[in-house]
Amino acid sequence: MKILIVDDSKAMRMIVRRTLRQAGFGDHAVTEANNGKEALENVRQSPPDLILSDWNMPEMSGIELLDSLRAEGIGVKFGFVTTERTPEMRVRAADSGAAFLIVKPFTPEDFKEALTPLFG
Amino acid sequence: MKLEDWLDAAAVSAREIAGGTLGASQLDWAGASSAALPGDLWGVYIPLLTEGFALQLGVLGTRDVCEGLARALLGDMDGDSVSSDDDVFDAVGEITNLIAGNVKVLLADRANIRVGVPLAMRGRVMPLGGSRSIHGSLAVDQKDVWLVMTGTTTR
Repeated sequence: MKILIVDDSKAMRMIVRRTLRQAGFGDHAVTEANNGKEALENVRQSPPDLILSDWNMPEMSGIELLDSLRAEGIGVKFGFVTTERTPEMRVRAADSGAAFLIVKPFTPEDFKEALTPLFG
Repeated sequence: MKLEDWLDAAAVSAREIAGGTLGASQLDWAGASSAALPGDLWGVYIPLLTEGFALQLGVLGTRDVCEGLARALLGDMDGDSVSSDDDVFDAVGEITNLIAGNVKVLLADRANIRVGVPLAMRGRVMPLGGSRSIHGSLAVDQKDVWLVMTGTTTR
């Protein structure tokens, strides 16, 4: 399995990688992108099995990335890892096709709970 | 809502992040201060946009304090994870983002807040044109972290 982490913070990308390992997903190949625009280009060239994306980013936000992917007919599994956690944001994410929304700060258990149904 | 209410919410949020995510054991919030901010601060401002307010939440400290916050966030993952000024700003930006996210939830029944993209700074930010700025110091394990709320009403 290939996982793409999308976050404009290098620190957060490192923390997400570490948390994936701690949650038992360390065997998966992980790649990174700095923002939605870079992620979209990466996905077009080499689609991952799962995208873990921040919401607020420069260039292209996470929700704009998700909407762009779906508009292009790319149905890759997609989850948010974000500080955005209001009910309105959760509804917006689900309506756009996100499988889950993990709230920062998070624990390895949060990752297990969200990712296990996707990876079996 | 007064600027002081926003700063209080930022302090509650920062205490939660510092005590939880950053693993700090001693936290002391002195409240809003009338003393001038030190001039040698580093840190990050993040926009909090809502109907009626255009605000910036700042999380500031000396270079050493900011590096300490960065290392606490990363848990000293490989000992080399905070090797440059950019790494420090990046991590403090993420901490500021976490605090802003908490503020958004804390004030959800009073304001519909949009959180913007963080901006790093060194030195001093000076509000202009009718903006106000208030600040206070949160001692995180006896190290001063300055919380700043600056901005203006938009109506």
